[in-house]
Amino acid sequence: MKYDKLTSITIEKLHQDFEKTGYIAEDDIIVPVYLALRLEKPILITGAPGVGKTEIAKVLASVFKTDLIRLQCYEGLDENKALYEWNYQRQLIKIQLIKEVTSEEMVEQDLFSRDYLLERPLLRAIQAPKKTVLLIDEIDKTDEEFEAFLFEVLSDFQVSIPELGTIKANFIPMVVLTNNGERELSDGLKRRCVYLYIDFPSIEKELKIIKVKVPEVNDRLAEDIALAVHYMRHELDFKKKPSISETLDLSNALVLFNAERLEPEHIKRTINLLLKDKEDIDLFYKELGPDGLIEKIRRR
Amino acid sequence: MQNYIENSIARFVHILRHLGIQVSILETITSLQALALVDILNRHHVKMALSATMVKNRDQQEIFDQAFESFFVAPEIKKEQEQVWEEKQAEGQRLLEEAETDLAYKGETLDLTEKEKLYYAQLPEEEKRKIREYLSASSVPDDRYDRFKPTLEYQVRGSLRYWKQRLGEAEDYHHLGDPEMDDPVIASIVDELSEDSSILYEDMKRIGERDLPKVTNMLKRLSRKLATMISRRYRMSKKAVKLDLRRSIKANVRYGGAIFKLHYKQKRIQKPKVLLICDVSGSMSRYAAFVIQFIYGLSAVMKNIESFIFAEELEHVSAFFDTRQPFEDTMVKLIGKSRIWGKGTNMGNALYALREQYPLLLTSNTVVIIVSDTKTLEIDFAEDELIKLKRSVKDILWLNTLPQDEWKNVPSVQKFKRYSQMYECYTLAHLERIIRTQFLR
Repeated sequence: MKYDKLTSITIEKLHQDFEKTGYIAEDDIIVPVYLALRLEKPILITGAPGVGKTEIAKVLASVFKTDLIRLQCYEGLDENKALYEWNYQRQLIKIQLIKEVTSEEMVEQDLFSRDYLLERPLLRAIQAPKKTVLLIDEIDKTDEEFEAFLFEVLSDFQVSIPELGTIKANFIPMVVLTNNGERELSDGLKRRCVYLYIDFPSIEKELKIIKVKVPEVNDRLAEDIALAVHYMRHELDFKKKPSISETLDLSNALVLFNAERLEPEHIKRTINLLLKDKEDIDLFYKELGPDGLIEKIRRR
Repeated sequence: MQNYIENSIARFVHILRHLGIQVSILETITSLQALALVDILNRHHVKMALSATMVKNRDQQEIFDQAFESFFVAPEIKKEQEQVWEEKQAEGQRLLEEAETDLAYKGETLDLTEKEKLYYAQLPEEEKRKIREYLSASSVPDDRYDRFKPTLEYQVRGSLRYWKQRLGEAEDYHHLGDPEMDDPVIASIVDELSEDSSILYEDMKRIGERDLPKVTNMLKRLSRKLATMISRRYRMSKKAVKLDLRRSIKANVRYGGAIFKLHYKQKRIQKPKVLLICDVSGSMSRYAAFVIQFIYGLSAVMKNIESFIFAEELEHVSAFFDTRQPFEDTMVKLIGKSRIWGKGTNMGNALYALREQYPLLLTSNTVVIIVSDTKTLEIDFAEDELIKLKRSVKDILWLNTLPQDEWKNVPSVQKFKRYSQMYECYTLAHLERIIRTQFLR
């Protein structure tokens, strides 16, 4: 499917397209995504790690058959890494090569042309010849100055490069920002985005996800897994609750063990796939343990 | 129809603003554009469209959901809301009139604020009777006592303040006569929902047992946020630092001296060590329970935090937080073993002991957080010790549980304020704001 203008999409169509790519989503997710696309606004997705925030950008790229341009944020990320940088080394080599034969003015003109421009993700998304998906991942990891800069780029979808002038976006990219909530983002940035909070899925939704992503799992086992993970998330106070991706790891592992149903033995062998913190594992054994967990989910 | 929708959205935005969700005009317009793109008869889609364009974080989401459910209701429920609100208003008016009749001196109503009068009206009958008797005993039919009315007002005010401290806040009728609240539906929803979110603004020492689980969750979230920020190691970005010529030249010798690869001076900011000193004397012990819960949350996620409690003396309590045990167990152990919990305060002694016994903890990279209402014996001694402490650490943040409007009358606040960054901190909202502005920058 190709949408240069996104006016033809509908909520139902988006539902179907998401499901075709294997992303199980209900209206809670589809409606904000749909609105972001139609209003041509960035979508800011928050939620615990592993609930499928980044995946939405990948799904969008797949649905619209377009490129995904990813900007991974980290402390100290600046414009040079996000927008553009002059290829200093290449410029130097050029100077060395032509300094004898060309006039100074020509050298300078030549050196600040697009050939020497290293495009970083933001500029690439703006210059792309078609509508792309721009994923700005973990925006909360950047510094405030960078956030302010980003806010400017996302407002106008244009950038100014002193030596080249202003570059305007040919197509406004579909921007997906993800946020793990490590720090509060500025009001300005939040105001420009459509907001989506993704919570851990319900038992029914997780069951659907397991069946779609790991079709080898039988129905009863899938149900056991969904119930167990749901119970652990809601009843125990873990530092890091098991995410959907960890549920899928567990499901894959159980397929390898040829499991028909979830048994205490399986939990003992796979607990490291669900819980990644020693204190969490200790807490699990202290408060519940594999037998306790199975007993709880069988009782339902 | 169109006007009806716009009108409803405007009123809904009004409610959200009253509940602390800042919705700008631009966002309101965007929300209307969003509504035009969804099926307006699908309640869930309408809710999602408004939420996506008005909400900005998870806390707001909860408030938004409640406000939406209360506002977009069937007409008969709306009617009920109006009725409840009007009854409440009438009750408030009745209480006010009753108070005005009771609180009079020689037939003239005392000059008290509406809030004070309403507070009086909700006091237990026994206490009201005492105030009434006192007033009637003071009403001597003698002209000489005309000037006595301001004195009486002063005394009644003092008495009401005393009861407020002992019994806590009464039911809130503060929307009485508020022109912004002339819409009964808006007023009733704001009134109903703000009670839920008021725990953030409640004086910590008055938070009841019922709300403790809510507070525990809030504190846990706050402390985790803070811990993440402190444990992040900041490195300045390239544009903010200077070229490191020495390293650049060295690295480029191989290119015949042409500066080919640039190296920048990078300044690594070390993680600060946090040293927390919490006052657990009699007047502070209720606050201390919350602050310690906060430290508990912090210690669970970060290692470089040292905790002390003090009253007459100082006690090192970091060890209590090292093991991962439920908070209640930690508290029971802490209070059980502490020799000083709930006693009098001598801050000078505590700071002296800190300097003498734990000098290695006081470095130029240590941020000291003091939680105290500043009330202490030997103020001058405490001041001297504070000056000495200030010299040996990076910074002192003082979370003061006294309301800021009382600071000017408390000499110890005036003294200690000079050597620390002092913040008013008697509600969870204060604690949250201090963390956001001082740590999450």
